[in-house]
Order: sequence, then structure tokens, then C-alpha cells
Amino acid sequence: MKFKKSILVGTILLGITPLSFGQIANTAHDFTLSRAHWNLANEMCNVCHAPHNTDVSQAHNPLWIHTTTQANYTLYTGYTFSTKGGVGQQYGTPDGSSKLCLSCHDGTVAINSVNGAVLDTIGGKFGSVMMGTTHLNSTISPTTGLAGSHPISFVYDQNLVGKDPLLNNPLTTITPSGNGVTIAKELLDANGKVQCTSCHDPHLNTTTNWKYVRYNNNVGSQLCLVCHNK
Amino acid sequence: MKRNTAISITILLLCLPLTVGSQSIVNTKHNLSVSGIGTVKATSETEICIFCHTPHNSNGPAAPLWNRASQGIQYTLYSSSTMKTSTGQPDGSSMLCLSCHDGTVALGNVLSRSSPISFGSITTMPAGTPTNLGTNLADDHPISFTYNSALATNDGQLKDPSAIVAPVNLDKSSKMQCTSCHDAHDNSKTKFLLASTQGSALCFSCHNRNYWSSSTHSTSVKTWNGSGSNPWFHTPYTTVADNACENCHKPHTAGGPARILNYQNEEDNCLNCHNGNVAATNIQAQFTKTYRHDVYAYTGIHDPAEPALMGTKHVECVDCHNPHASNANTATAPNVNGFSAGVQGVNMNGVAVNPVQYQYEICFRCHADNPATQRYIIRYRGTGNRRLDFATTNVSYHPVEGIGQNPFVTSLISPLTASSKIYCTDCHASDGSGSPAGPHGSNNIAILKSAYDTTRFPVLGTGWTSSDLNAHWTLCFQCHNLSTVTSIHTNISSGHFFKYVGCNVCHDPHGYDGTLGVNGGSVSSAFEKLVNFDTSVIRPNANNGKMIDIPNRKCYFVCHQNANNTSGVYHAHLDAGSPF
Amino acid sequence: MKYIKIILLIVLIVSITEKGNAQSGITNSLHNFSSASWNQWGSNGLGGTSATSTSGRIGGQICAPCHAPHVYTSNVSPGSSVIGPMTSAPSNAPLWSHQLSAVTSYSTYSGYNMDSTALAQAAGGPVGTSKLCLSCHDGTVSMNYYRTFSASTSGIKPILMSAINGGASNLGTDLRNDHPISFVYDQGLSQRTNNGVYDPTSHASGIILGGSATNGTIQSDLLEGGTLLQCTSCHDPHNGAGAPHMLVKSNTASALCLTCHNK
Repeated sequence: MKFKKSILVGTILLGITPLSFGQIANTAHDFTLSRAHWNLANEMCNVCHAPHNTDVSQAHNPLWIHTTTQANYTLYTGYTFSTKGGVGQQYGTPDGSSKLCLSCHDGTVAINSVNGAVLDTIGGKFGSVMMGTTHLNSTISPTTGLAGSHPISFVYDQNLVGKDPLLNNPLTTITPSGNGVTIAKELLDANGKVQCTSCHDPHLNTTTNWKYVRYNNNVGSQLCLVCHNK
Repeated sequence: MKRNTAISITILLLCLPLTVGSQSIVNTKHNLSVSGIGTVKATSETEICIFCHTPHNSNGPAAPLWNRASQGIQYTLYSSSTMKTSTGQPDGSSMLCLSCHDGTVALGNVLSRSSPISFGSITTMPAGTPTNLGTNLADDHPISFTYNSALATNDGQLKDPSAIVAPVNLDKSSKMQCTSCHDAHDNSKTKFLLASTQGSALCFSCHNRNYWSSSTHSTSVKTWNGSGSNPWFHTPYTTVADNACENCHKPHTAGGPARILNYQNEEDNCLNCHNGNVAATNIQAQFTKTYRHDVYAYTGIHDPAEPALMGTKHVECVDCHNPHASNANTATAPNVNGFSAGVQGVNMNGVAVNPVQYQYEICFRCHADNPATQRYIIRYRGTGNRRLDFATTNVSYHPVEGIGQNPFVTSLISPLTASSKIYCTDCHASDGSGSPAGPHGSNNIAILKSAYDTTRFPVLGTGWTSSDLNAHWTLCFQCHNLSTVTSIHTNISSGHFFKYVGCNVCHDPHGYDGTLGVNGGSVSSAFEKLVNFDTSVIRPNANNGKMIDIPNRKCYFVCHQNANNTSGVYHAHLDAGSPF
Repeated sequence: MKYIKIILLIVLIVSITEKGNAQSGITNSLHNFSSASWNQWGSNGLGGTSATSTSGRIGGQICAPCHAPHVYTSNVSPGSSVIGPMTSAPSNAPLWSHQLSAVTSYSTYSGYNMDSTALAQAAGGPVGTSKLCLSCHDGTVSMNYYRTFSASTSGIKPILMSAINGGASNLGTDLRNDHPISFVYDQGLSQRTNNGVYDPTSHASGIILGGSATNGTIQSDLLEGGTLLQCTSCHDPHNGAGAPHMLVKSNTASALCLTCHNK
């Protein structure tokens, strides 16, 4: 009985945590010393996560320690999204996990800024390390903000599907991950919202998942097509 | 359960393609797809528009997304002497229509398909299809010509283009095209026409024929009695008024190309109705009589643009009648009546007039200065130029051009008086009681309505009875009282005149000017009272050259004798002049 | 009676579940670029070094040549920066990634009998989403100039629409022989043409989206911004209806033409 239960728990745990142990190594998110010269702690995870004293202001935060951005953005208005589909879907300034991604990727907060402090510098030698355009260029557009990016932080539910029949039902459509789970379960956050993490898994091995894009880097555009009924 | 079925059926019906009433191309013969209603249609192609249109890579910038290639064919064009413009090769939208309707291009040949759309055994429009116009457009209404104000003014019977009421239209270059009359998508008025042809409303969108509104052809409700050939073989209408222009004209594949008439033979256009099968009177039957204005004998000579004074000899109905104008208005001599209203003629002075005011002006086209016929009887005075014969300056004449010279014609039958005037057709008309009016044909010589014996050989020694006279010269005695005439002649000649010779030997039924036909006396008084002898019977006295002295009542002439007194009957007593 | 009901039900189901059409969707269309030789965006990102190879590229991203989840305007220039429907706002574009055509003046449909107001608008040249279609279909921009690929990308071998399927879908820059686009199709146009084209605000579009009839009108379903007639009024680049020529609905019996044209 006990044995079975632990297997059950373990399985559940395995089921809900990304099966990506060791994938993040040697990716851009690998902040070990050999890649992030300023991370004297030489840890992979400590730039974003910490076991204690994390930022509680982030709902459902995954033990988040990186300084949160305070920036405002020009949002994606899109073809009809802002006037039709997005209305009533709690579409607004990015929240949830997207805010966490933007905390580095909007270029306003230093990469090595945790909980308001600069991480592990030697007497300020490195100072704030910003995401820039020289060797780190994955910033949101400085000119158009998020206007040129796929919309995020909106609720993707049956209501939205009713407004746009060219979206698949998130509650019933199975993703191509092979896990047999639905869009809602695998790609949307706990509030049923599309976030950066709907398409990107920041821990993936980028050799096969370039730019951390799910499903084998969207081979055959299967990531797009799991939600968009095209 | 029933309700569910009803709902299902309703939903099923809603799934059917919408038809938008008779205005849609879907229910017309121009739906060449497999769902079309005609016999010419594709075997499996479902798209309807594709036979003419394609949204991309269509033919040429000027066409409406045309899906058919240009063929570069040269067509035979319409031409006529009465068209005040000329047409060039078809262009514009007419080329689009002709890309099927000239019968040269396979119907399934479209640009957007690499192989032609199959129509089964049909490739081009089948020959013999009424709408297969072929490449000879001479027998079709002219197209592709500029129709502007100048043309309307020049023609005189066309509306100004600004007065053309939509949907009849001209194209962007002010040209008339097929699309002026047709809409290839809309068959609600049949034949894809833009306006109804009842009463030829479509034609009158542009054509403005003089006299039409008062003409019988525009108002008559006469129908066809079913005998003979159907005069309205290309229209659905059953009265003259409804057929209007199409009584005689046929806009496409016309039998008579010039002016697109139903038939090539000019008279056929008229006589198919004027044979008693539509019109009450049978004019056609008159042309079977011995003496006639033989409209059948001539084809292709008459031209509406010809001068009033006839050139090449011919006669057609339209030389005397204007079918756009004819009506049943009556008139009194010499005014022309409604039957011959609106035609051209030559007046008493020899000047062309249009329209004629007097009936004789019509006759003078052919029987005056350029006479089409020879006289049966040659007389001493007059040349047979009837205009001159009837001139009121002459010494004697029947009162056609004006009141006669003699104020004392006692033989006239009432209501005729010495100041009456008469028509040519009072004498020249069809014989037989109840025959239609007009000089169409008669069994009597010279198309005379009654007997007029031109025999020159009376039987001497026998007298003619009154009934003989009446039978042989019925024509004269319709106006001149027989007993009065008989007593006059008996009085003045002791019975010699008129007992052995008829009216014709001594009297000229027309009139005569001073021109002397044959040598015969210069005394004008000898020629009063229409006395103008038949030269083959009466000769002047060989000894004194005299003929007759009417006021002094003396006869000098000789009958049947040649000029040398060597034959014939010689009356010696005439040397001194026989009193009469 | 029972059988009739069953048959009717089957017909009903078949007629409304268009999504059951196995031929619909972008994967079943010529816009499935996953194996296009020029589609650099393979499963491993830049597609390795074989920019000059013409061999089929399995697993190429279908959406990539036209869309990108993150778009910077620099990706789609040069050419006009106007993408949106008559309002010139790049943010209105559907995350467009293909380089736009640099052509600024197309010859447009010359009209024949077209309403003069609409004709004048169309003469202004294609705008809005039609420019997106023309970014490949006018044959001036290489198919593989999208996302970060452009003429200045080394190793890229340009390929124009004229080389695809013998240029069958290459409209060129002379649009005079093509159906007019980029004009306002409104009630006024219907009235000026005496209902020659139906009133878009009331006439049904007959469009079926995602498996259910929309009950929509021409205006709600076919016009960009509810006003403009564009390429997308007739064509669905994602082949949603599974109709030939990627039309928004089947043109059997010319049903698509007759949706707007009252003929």
C-alpha cells in the first residue's frame, strides 16, 4: 500500500514537473560561471529561483527570486484581437509567468538582479548586467514593444473559442507532446491564460528546442497548430 | 416526430443553393454549367461564371475579367443606304458576346483551364441555332458604331443619346454594342433583353420613327387567323400593335439584310399580313391579276434613299406606302389619304416633295417625267407625261391636279360637279366589287377598276345598245351618266358618234398639254372636252389637214385611213366638213 | 418515415460539419510549406547551411514564412510599411514575417462597368492584408525572404513566385486582369449598382468556419475591417474551407461569385 502510494505520488510529481532534468545545461539559460561570468555562485538556477526568501508578490511563483520588472508595454493589438477576441479575456498588461520572463527580456532589469540586489559581484566589478544587443539579443523590440509579438496574458477558454471558431478547444485538444494532456493542462497557466510559457519552456535543451520553443522547435509548426485551427 | 421531420426538411431546403428569381443567370440558358436549363451545357462543370469570367489572369485590361481569348476574326459588317454612319469591326463588349455567338469558338475554351470544358458532343454553338450569328453581321442590327448627337441629328429619326432611357445604354465610348440591348445575365424579359419588345419598346428607346404613333401598325389589334405562314415567327406577340417594329423587322439573322427586314423580297414583308390573314383586305390577291403594279418582279432595286423621280424602273409596296405612317384616315381628292401618308413624290411642278400632300404626287414618281410605262393609246396631243397631261393650263383634262376647264359638264353623276377633283385611283384601282382600294392589280387593262374597252374597230352598221356601252366602258359611266352622254352624242352627231365607236377613240381619259404627239391640227378648240383622237384610228383630212372643229360642229377627219388616203375607209363628204 | 428522418439527419450532419472535410486546413493546401525547398525555417532553426539546396526539407515550419510570434518591423521592410487596413498601423498585422513587396504602384483593374467610387479606391492600389498576399504573389519578393532572411543573408538562394508551379499563382504587378481589390464594399455600393452587388450588411455570406455555419453577412465574414474587399474576401490562405484555390467557400456552381454578384 505504502509502496504503491509513493509510486503514485512520484508519478504525479513526475507528471506535473517538466521532464527536463539536465536539459538547461549549455543553453542560454545556463547561468553557470563558464557562461555567465558574473555569476560567481556558479549555480545554474540561482538567477531565477531560490529555495527561500523568494518574491511572494508573484502569484503561483515558482520560488522566484529574480527582480520583477515594472515596465509598461505597447501591447499586441493585432488584426482583430484587441477589438474582438481579446475583449473579455482579461487581456492586459502581462502577468503571471510572462512577467517573470519579461523581467530579463524587456531589457529594463539587469540579468543579475535578484530581489532588488545585484547578484554576486566582486565589489561591483560587473555591476548590472543588462540584456543588450551585443551578445544577448533576445529582447522585446525597443520600438514596438509587444505590439509585434504574439499576444500573451489573456484567458484562453471556451468563451474565446466561441468568438473565434478557428481556435481549438483548450479543454479537449490533446497536445503533440505525447503526454496525452490537453492544451489547458500543458500550456496554459493556472488561470487558464496564455503566457510566454505556453510556447517557451525556459528549461529545454536548445540544441533540439531552439529558443526554448516546445515540441521539437515547432517542427511542422505543430505548436502553432495545436491551438490555431488552420 | 412530425415536427422534427419538418425541421429537418426546412434545414435541408436551406442548404440548397439560393436562386434569386428569374433575374439570375442560374435559371437561364447562359448557365452553361451542368445545372443549366438549356440543351447546350457542360457535362460536368459546376461553376457557372467560369465560361466567361475569371478572377485572375483574365484577358486584357478592358474586359470584365474575361475568360475567353480574342479571335481576331474579320466580320462582314452591316451596311445600308439609309444608315448615316458606318460601322467598323465589332469591338468592346460586342466582341465578348461574339466569342460564343459567332459560332467559331468552342464554348468550353476558357483561359483559366488548360483543356476545354467538355460539352459532350457540342463544341461551338451548333449551326442553325437562331442565336448563332455567324461571321456575317450584315443581316444583324449594326453594332460598334458611335451614337452621338450628331448622328441623331443627321439621321433625323434617332433620339439624342441623352434621351436613351436606362437600362438601354451606350458603352463608355458612346458606342452601340450588344450590351445596349442585352444583359447576358438577366433573362427576365426573355432573350436577355434590357427592355420589353412588346410594342417594340426596346426599339423605341433609340429609334424615333416619324408618324409612328398615328400609324395603324402601332395601334391595330388585328391578329393572325392561322392561315398561311405565321407573320410573327420570331416574336411571342399576337397582335399587330404588340409586334410593332417586328411586324417587318428582325434584329438578328434577318432575311432582308438592309434595314434588317424579315424577308429578302421586299413585298413579302408586307404581303404576309396583307393577304387577308391579318389585315382584313387581301392585297396579295390583287397581284395575281393580269394588270398590276408587279411588286414581285423586282428585288433589290428599290432603295429608300432613292430620289423621288424614279430611276431604274421598279415598283415595291414601299414606293407608295410608308409602313411607319400608314393609317386609315380618309381624305378628299386630291389630298393623299392615310394609306399613303408619309411617302415621297413629285409635285405638279416636277419638284420632289416629302411627304406628299396630294395623291397624284406619288404617281408622278413613275408616270410623269420619266414614265415607267408605255401608253396603250397614242393620241394627237400629250406625251404620256401625266404631270403635264393634267396641268391646269391645258385646254382639257380630268380634274386631278386641279378643277377642270369645262364648267358645264352636265353628265356628271352627283355628288360630282364641274368643280370636283378626282384621284388617279378613282379610275385606277382593283376590279371587282368589295376589292381593296388602290391600284394594286386588276383584270382590266391599265389597272382600271372597271371595264374600259380600247378596241378600235366598231362594227359599222350595227348600233351599240346602252347596255353594250355600259358594259364596255363601265369606267366612264361611273361618273358620267350614260343616258346623258348618249343623248349628247346623239344630238351632236345624229347618232353617229357613240353608236359605232366607243369613248376611247375620241376622248383622252387623262388630259393633254399643247405638245403635239403626232401631226394633227393646231386649233386648240379642236381639243376641248377631252377630245384627243386615237391616232391609230382617226386621221386628219388628207386634203386640208383638218381634224375637227368642235365649236362650229364640223368634222374633217378620216377614220382608219393612212396619211396617203390609199387605204381604209374614206369619207369624201368630209372635205367640206360634216356637221355634227 | 423513420428512414426519411435518418437520411435527412445524415444530410444535415454532412452539410454542416464542413470541418469533417479531410481536405481543409493549411496542411492540406499549397500553403503547407513544410517540405518546400526554399523554406529555410526547418526543425533546427536556421536549417543548417543548405540555403542553396533544393532538396525537400521535412519538418519545415508551415507558419514561419508568413508569421512569426515575435516580429520586428525591420523584418518586413523594405517596401511599404503600411500593413494595416487603411490605418497604417503595423501592429494590426497578423504577426507578419514575410518581407513586403517594394512595389508602390500596381496597375489596377480598369473598371469596365465598375462603380466609379469603388474604381477610384481600387486605383489607389492594394492596401491592408492584400499587401500581405502580394508579398509573395506579385512575384517580386523571394519566397524565402521572411523572418531574419533577406537579400543580405549570405547563402540564401532567392526564388520568386514565377518559379513556383510554372508561375500559376504569380499575379505580377499588373492587376488589370484581376478582380479588383482594396475598395470599400458597403451598402452605398450596392445601392449605386442597383443591387448589382448585394447589400453586404444583410446578405448572407454562406461561410462555414470551424465546423459551424456563421449566420454571418458578407460584411461580417468577408470584408476586412467590415468595409474592404480584399484578397481574403475570397481566399483563405489557411484553407479553412478545404475548397479548391483556397477559397473561403466552395465555388461549385459559382456559389462564391454569386455570394456578392447579383447575376
